[in-house]
Formats: sequence, structure tokens, C-alpha cells
Amino acid sequence: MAAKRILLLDGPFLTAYHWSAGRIKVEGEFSHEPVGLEALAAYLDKNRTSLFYLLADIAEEGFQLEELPHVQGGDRSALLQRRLVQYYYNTPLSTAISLGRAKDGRRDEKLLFAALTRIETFTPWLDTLREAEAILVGVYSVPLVLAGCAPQLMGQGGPVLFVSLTRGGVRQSFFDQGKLHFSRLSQLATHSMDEIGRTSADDSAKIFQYLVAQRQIPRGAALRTMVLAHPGQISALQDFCRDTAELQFEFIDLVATARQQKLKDVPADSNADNLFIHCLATKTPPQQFAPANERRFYNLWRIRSALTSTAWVILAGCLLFAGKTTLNLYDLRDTTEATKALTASDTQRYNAILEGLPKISITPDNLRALSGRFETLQQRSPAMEPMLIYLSQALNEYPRIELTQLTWRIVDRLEGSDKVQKSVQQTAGAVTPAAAAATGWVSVEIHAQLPLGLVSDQRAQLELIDSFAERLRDPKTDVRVLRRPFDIESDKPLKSTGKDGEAQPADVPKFALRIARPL
Amino acid sequence: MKLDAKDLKRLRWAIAFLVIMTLVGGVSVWTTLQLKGGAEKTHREAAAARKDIQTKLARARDEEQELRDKIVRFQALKDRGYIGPERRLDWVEAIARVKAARRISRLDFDFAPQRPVDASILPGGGTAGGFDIMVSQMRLQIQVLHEGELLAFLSDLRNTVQALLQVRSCTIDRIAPSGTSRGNSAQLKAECVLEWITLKEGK
Repeated sequence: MAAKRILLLDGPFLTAYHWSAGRIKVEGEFSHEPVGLEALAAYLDKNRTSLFYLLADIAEEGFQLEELPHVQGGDRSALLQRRLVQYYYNTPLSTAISLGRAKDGRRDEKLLFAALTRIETFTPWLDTLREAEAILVGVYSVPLVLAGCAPQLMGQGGPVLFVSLTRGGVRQSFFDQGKLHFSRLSQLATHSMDEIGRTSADDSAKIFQYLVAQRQIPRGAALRTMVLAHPGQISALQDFCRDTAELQFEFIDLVATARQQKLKDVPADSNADNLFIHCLATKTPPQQFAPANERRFYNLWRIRSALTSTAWVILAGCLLFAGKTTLNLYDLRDTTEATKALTASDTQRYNAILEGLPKISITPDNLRALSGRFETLQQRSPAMEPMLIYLSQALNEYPRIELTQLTWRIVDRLEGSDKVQKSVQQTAGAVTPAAAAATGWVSVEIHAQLPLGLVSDQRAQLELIDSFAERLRDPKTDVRVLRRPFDIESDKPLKSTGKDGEAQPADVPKFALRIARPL
Repeated sequence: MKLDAKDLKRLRWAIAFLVIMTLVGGVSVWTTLQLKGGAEKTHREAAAARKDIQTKLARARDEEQELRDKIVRFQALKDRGYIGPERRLDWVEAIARVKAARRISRLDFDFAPQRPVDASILPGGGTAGGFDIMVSQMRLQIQVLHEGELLAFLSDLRNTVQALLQVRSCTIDRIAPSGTSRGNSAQLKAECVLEWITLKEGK
């Protein structure tokens, strides 16, 4: 947080104060002579990172009340700027303060146009501040500070004349409904209690007359006048400030007020400079008088602060996220370590079981893989006997069929329709079609012949072959007649057999048949 | 407020600070995310290993018996000489012994060079558990009195030799009777293709 320094301008001298946590310390007093300005430049250079508030407590002020149609945005800015130039054409130190909108009619906006009218008073100081590139937050006046902190001292919201004492003199500020309307500084010559009391009473009466003339207060009603004074000096002031038909005096304890505002160095007399400095530092008014170019370094400071703050926020956010991730990481690592420990324990138990097994040269997993493959191999290496015995039993029942050739083989797939293969595999029940296709088949292809006596009885030949095939067929066995003694299909030729009805040995009926079973 | 070059120069340290802090923060986040990613991967692997060992342990008793059976079978394979280099000399001698014992009149054979087993013999390839399954194809021509003699010959061979025998095919034909041969002459001739399968330890 940047240090706050208040430059109080209340005459030919400018006094520098350092405000820190409710404590106010005078750091220097500078004249507007070149020597004083050089000293101020050195002071500003020494405190180049501080925020500077220029607080004016001078008599050359202007206040103008006006009601304007309520407009917003750029139009409002242009309208207010135009009015300020019209009212205070000779000073750039001016501002407009909204006092709220009327409750009836067009609901116009009531505005107070205020200014520090003698720019020459400020020029050397502002030049020095600008050249030193000091961070000037703004140019303020005591009435602006009072506009922020006085209303809470006044209580009820009617017209109030607020009288305060500063090193510059006695200031009368008029508030209505808690809003500043007017302020005037009466300079003092001796700062004696007599002069303070007399000025407070006399000028209050004059202000009353002025306000009546301006129709800001009704004629005939007493004006509530509040005097901010040290408790030890209130009785002396009461001798001068007596209630009249026009003015009704009340006194506010300056010390109590300072404590209430958390000012640690309470005033020793009725001078309220420190209280106003404290209020400026703690409750900086939203309005100020300096034009934008005088506040350039303050705006740069704000950009710099925003960048720096953003950098810290980003870093903090990233570090928080990284910290949270790191915590999660440690949790995860702990969990992983615990899992590994449990795995190691289980592995030991598992290995202990394996240790009890006979020792071999390969790992259990390899043993399983090898055994599985070898079993598959053995399954694919069937003996010839089962199929040959099955065939022999059938041939025993059909003595008229004579076997001439037999081929036993393992095949991956059967030649013929897939439908037959599938039906056999499904009927066999042991294997799925896909598995059977992968496993393969054992097939026996036989070539056989029938008795010569049947050569002329083709129907009997077919019946004998079909009967034999039917004998071989069972749910596990696929039977297919590959070739018959003759073809009876319409799309094939058919010729007679034998010569003049006599059968020759070469005419012996032959056929081929295949039986197959899945592996 | 418009910023000019001098203003930007005045703000350069703040901008640099913002960039550096952003980089520092970004690097810290990236680093921790990388570490977390690595830790999550390790955790997943550890969890998978734990699940695996738990599964193994849960069926350890069954596996123990299964492994015992498999070890017995593995030892049997070793004892039978299925594992290791081919013993072709032993095979030839065994064939001769069986031929003599069975009084087979005629037997011719030839072995092809050894090769890795192919998909027609064993679908899925010939590697298992660190072993290569090798095969030597034998073409056998034999004349026998009847088919039982052929089957007995193959059975004897299967029980004798140090290899797993797989009969791929066997074609049996009758031998046409001739007037000169009488008595103990062969009735059948067979042409068979046999695969002699052995296991070779992989490299």
C-alpha cells in the first residue's frame, strides 16, 4: 500500500503531512518562492512512490447551485463541462457535485458547481508536482472533505450551518438535507478566542441573511448552527454564540469526533485541520478539482497497481492450484504406495503358493501358454482308429459293398456346402461353427464298388448306397456321397450299361463317399 | 486516458512483473499437473497390478492344482524328449526297430527339413510360452498285410519316438493280387504324411 501524503495549502505556504494509520505527522512547510518550490521538488522526489493529496483551505472558492434537466453519459459530461466553463472560465480547478433529483415536475437534477477560483495560487505547486512526476490523487478543498464527513455529525437532515475552525480561519458551510450547498472561509488576524468567537457569531448571522436572500432557507425560521470546537473552548465560544431568533447554536466535541473518526492524535485546540486531513485520507471524496492532465501519474499508478495486483492474483491463484494439486499428488502417491505394499504382500503370498510347486525352468504363465498350445496341438492330432472302426462296423453290415481305396486326412474345411458343416457342428454341440472352422475336420474318403449283379438294377444300386450313407450318418458325422455309379441328374448325360444285357467286370458299379467329423 | 510511449516505458516493470508472475504461476501449475499425470499413471498401473495379483490369489488354490497338473505334463514332455533338438538318428532307428518287430515287408520314408509349425497344423502360430514349435514332415510309403498292421505300426511309432506325431493324411489302397506272390504277401499299400513335432526353447 502506497504511503499517503497530504499537502495542505492554506495561504502562501504549503504544509506536507504524512498520514499513516490515523497518525498525522508534519514533514515540511514550503513557500511559493523558488527556494520553497525546490525544497518541495526534493521532498516529492524523495517520496516518489507516495500518493499526494492537495488540500486547499482558502477563501477563493465559488459555489453555484443550479437545476438542470437530467441527462446521462457523454451528454451529461458535455453539459456539466459547459456549465463549469461558463461559471468558472478562468480556472480549470472546478467540479460538479450532484445533490440529487427533484421529486416533482421534470425531476431535474440539482447540481452544485464548485471551484477554486484563483488558479494563480495553485499554479506553482501544480507545476512542481507535475515536473516531479508526483502521484497526485487530486486537488480537494475543505468543503469537499466536509461534504463527506460532516453530515453524519449533523444528525437530522434539515438546513444546518456548520462552523469549523482551521489554520486558515473560521469556515461556515451550509448543508441542506445533508448536502453541501455553500461554504465560506473568514480569515483571522490573531486567532484569539475572542476573534474566533466573534467571527463565528457575526459571520453566521451574515450567512443567515445571505441564505434568506437566496431563498435557500425560509424567512422567520431559526437556522440550526453547529460549531465544531474543542471541549475546553466550548464555554468560551458560548459567550459569543448565543441563540437568537435566527440562529440556534449547538456545539460538537472536536475531540470526541476525532476519536470517533479513529484519529489517534487528537487535536489540542479547536483547529480541525488534522481531522479534515484524516477524513481526506480515510474517506477520500469522489469529487476533486484537478483536471485529468494533473492526475496523469495517478492514473498511471493505478494501471501499474492493477497490473501488479493482477500479477499477484495470478501467481497466488496458480500457486494455490499447484498447492492443491500437490496435496492431491501426495495423497495419490500415498494411495499408490499403500496399493503397492498390498500388492507386494499378495505377491509374496502368491509366490509362497508357487514355491510349494515342483521346480521347473519356466514361469507359470509360460507354462500355461505352452500347455494350452500343446493341448490344442494334441487335439489336432487325432488317432485314425475311431473313424476307421466306425467305418468298419458299417461295412460289416453291408457285405455287398467292397472297399477299394480309403483316404484319411485332417482338413481345415470341408469341400461342400457350409450349411452341412454348420449343421453337423451345431448338432455335435461341442463346438461353435467358428471354433470348429478354426479347429478343422477329420475326413475319410472311401472309394468302393458294388456287386456286379447289381449293374442292371440301378435303383437297387442307389438304394444300397443311400442306405449305407444313412447308416454312417449320425449327429457327429457328416456324410456326403461324392460320386455315384451313374449320374441321374437331368443336366448330366446318362447311358446304358452292359452289352446285350450281359454285365462285364469293367462295368462294376463304383461310388465314392466321404465321412467327416470335427476335430 | 491515452498512453504514449513514455507511459508504456513507465509501466514496463509492472508489465514485466505481470508476465514473469504469469510464467512462474503457469510453470508451477504445468509442473504439478505433469507430476500428477505421472502419479496417476503409476497409480493406475499399481491398481491394475493389485487387481491382477488379487485375481491370481483368489484362484490360487485352483491354480495350484492346475499348475501341478501342467508341471507333470511338462515333465512328461521333457522325459519323452519332445523338448530340445530333433533326434533324427533315434527316429530312424526306432522306425527300423518297429519295422522289424512288425515284420513289415516294405517301408520307405523321407523327412523334409525342419520348419516352424504353420497355421494348417496349429492355427495361431507356433510360439508359446517361450518355446518355438517345430515340425518335420515325413512322407511314408508302407505295404502291410491289413489295415490293423498300419495302425499298430503308427501306434508303436507314436509310443517310441521323441516327438509328437500328427498324421496329416493316409491313403490306403488294395494291392492287386499277383500270381507269383503267395502266403505272407502284403495286401495293402499306404501312403501317409506325418508331422514330427518337437519344441525348441526360444532365444
